[in-house]
Amino acid sequence: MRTDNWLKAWPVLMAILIVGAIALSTYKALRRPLPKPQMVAASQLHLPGYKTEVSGINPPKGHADVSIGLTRRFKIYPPDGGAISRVILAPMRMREKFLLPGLRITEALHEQYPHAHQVLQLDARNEIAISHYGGTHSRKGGGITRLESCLTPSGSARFAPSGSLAPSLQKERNEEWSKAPLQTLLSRSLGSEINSRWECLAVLIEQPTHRDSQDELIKIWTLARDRITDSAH
Amino acid sequence: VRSLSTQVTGRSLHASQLWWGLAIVMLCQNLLFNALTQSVEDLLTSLLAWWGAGILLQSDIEDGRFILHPSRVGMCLGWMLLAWVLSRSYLISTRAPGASLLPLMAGIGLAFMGFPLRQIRTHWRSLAALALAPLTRLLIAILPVPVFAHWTAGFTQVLLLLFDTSVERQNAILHLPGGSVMVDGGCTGIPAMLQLVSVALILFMAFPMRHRWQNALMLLVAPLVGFAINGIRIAILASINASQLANKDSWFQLIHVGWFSQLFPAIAMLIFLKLYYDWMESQVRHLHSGYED
Repeated sequence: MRTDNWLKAWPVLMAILIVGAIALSTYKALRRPLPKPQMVAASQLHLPGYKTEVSGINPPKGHADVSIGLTRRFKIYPPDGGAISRVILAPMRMREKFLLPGLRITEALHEQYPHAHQVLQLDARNEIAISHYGGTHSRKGGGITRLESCLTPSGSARFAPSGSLAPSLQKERNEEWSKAPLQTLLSRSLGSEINSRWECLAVLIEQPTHRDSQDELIKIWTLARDRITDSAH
Repeated sequence: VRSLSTQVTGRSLHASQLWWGLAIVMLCQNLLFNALTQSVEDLLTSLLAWWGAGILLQSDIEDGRFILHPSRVGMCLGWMLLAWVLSRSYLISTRAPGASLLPLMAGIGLAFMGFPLRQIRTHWRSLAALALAPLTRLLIAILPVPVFAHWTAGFTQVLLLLFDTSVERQNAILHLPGGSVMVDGGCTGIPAMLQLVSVALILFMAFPMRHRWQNALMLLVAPLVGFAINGIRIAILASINASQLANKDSWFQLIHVGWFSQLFPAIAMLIFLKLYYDWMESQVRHLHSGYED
């Protein structure tokens, strides 16, 4: 009979778990924005030979599948009075891998978060994009040419005009895992520590399409790539 | 269920209903967690693991090996483990490899909450089915993707050549006249093949064939079916990419990622289940005809 006494707690313990599981699941399903990205976009962008100005800031936006940090936008005026370029720097974290071969940043964003174009104030109807995986994607009209890249936390994987991002991205991820201490690996695996592999700083540089727009965008990217993250972070 | 009802009476029957309720809630919670935070493949792997645990537990019930009566220590351990699973499920918001451990941890917690410590080992098959989820995730991480990508690209090239499509292969890259595709990551078919192997293992534990070689053969056939169907998927993707279709990007993405892309692993699963069922049925028929003789 003594053993029956503690068995009285059995239904109570199970009932607590049932109520807890239902409550936590409901809360998670209704309100579950991803944590903010840790990367920070540069607040100023100084490019040698170009005049730059800050043209806008968008507050962070949390969403279930994509979290966009403080987005900064700049206008770049070329020295010879040519076409003005727009630079958009948006730190972002996704729920899982988003740098898919053949999928542009803006497309990947749109897949996960249909309001992304609105948040980043992009015109997706009329564009040519130089993909971070190499190759050029064009849409009907092609009134805007855009270079897209996404800078990973270590900075080693990014758009390179001469080749694909895939090998450098894979190398960086392998190194990230092979060099991390066991404790970090375990805590990342169990989700206790935020995994930086789902994070990058999206860099979108665009200007009206003209004969030399791709070369100009690549030139701006080459000058900007080491100046787009906040060094204080 | 009938055998359970004969073993528990009064207040403990009420507790047994609660235990089943808890098991169902943990199952739903885990599937919801996977749907909200992990990939489609992870969700399906988890679903398979729970399905396997369920049918193996059902056979334990039919064999009369299901008596709910936890020990005091087990009850405490089980409660803590399930509370840990719930807290982890709540806190994890991005894809994490360790998330695949949660169904197994939940299963162990439920076993502690339901059975005396000595009896838990009689339900090892259900726990083994739940262990297939982290095992699959581990294998996906360690299997050599470039090797599988190379094989898949080779198989797809043969398929395309059979359909008179001009195609050249450079390792895992297929060049068609209208465009090229690179086989990488999930497109190697590794997740789909491992899911089929998991199903084969579950069926082997729940409904084993008459001879060991038959079980071994089905374990070999499972990944081959997955590999072949994935090769067809890659051939379709390569053809779409090289085509002049108006919305080819949308079609490509539809078959490449997301729920619709799971149509192909689903077809592979149906083919494998049909093979298993037909072979099992022929053995049963053969056995019955032997009795009649």
